[in-house]
Amino acid sequence: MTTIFVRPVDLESDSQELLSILQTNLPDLPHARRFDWLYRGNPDGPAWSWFICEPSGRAVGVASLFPRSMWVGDKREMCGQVGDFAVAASHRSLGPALLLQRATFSPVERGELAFCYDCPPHQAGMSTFRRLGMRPNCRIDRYALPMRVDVRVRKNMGVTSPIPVALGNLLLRLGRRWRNKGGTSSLEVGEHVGHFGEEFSQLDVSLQRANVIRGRRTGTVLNWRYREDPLQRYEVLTARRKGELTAFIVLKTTNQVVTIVDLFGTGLPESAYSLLASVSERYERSHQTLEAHLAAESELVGYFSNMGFRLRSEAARVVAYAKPKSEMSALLQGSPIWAFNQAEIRV
Amino acid sequence: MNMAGNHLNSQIRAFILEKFPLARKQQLKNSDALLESGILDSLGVLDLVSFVEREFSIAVSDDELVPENFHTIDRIVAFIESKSTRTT
Repeated sequence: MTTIFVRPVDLESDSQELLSILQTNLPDLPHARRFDWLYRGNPDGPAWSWFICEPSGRAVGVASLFPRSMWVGDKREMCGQVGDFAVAASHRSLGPALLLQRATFSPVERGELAFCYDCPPHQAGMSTFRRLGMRPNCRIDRYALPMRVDVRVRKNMGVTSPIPVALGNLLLRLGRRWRNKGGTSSLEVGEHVGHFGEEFSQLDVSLQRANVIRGRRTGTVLNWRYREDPLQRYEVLTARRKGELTAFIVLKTTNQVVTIVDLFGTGLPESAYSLLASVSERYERSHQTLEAHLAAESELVGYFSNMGFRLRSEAARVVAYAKPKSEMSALLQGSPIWAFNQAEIRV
Repeated sequence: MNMAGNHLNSQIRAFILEKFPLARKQQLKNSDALLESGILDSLGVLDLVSFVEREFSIAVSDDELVPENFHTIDRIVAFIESKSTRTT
């Protein structure tokens, strides 16, 4: 008795209808400003999108799949990330969302993608997967490092005197310095401005590891993601040894929070500590909190914990779909390490 | 609505009132739009469907999870009745 149906979106002729649905149902983002960049400008390929339609043909929901080149162990695989998933409130009866979710599996079924994944940020986003009998492949947690106490003291204690605030900030700073005391390093940390060049692509290639799944970080992808994003500016710091790139960190800032979008490189204990120390020194006078999203099994978790970051909440879960009974399906079920951070979970 | 329908209605209403806080905050009518009002979201529908399948021993297929079957308490009752009729 299906009265609704799914149809593919033509990114040229259907773009206004797609934008209208997104803007109505996901109003926090100015979708039109990022449409060309996200849907057509992705170096890994244009997006696939699907409408869920009433019998009249009126679209009442949309879902998209953004191609994403990944490392799966030592193999480069084209995968897809589900995003911009929106269904009109009047049609959130699960059936329409199930049809859309299944549509996002279709490029995988056809063999055009090795697997696709979705990163629902809340339990409601898991409803389709629960109905389909799919469980999360990994959990992403939010970690935070307090850098200042100004906002918290004023909010929780109603204190306006500068003395408790100054004391609190001093204690936090001393704590960070104490944790960093063993972190003297021969690495040179500096801001990276301009485009990402070939050295970033080489770093990406040098770091594939067995049983680890992560997004590729070629210069081309990094330029698109962090230099051409029309909605967000990013700051990038690099760690170098004798001029050679060993690691980099990507940041975005709001009024109070610095978010670590990506941290990637070789010699991670040393380079991670150097980059994180540099970030905290850079922002400790202007921002309240440093924040990062990390996969539960990421090796970064230990380094962040050593630097004083604490687990705050579950931020998302990764649910991946590979063709049933395929090699990829077996690999995904075999507990690979999802080396994901915000770089992989943000569309 | 017949007696069986009334009983169904009471069971569905009790479940919704117990599980979904938003429903308790408003005077829930049988004709209230459960989806648009935000009383039920997709996760809520999933819980409701599990309840309906368990409580009334019917199987709900994915293509029956459409607004016309879950839009209001009245529609849910009608849907369960139609499923029960088909299986008896």
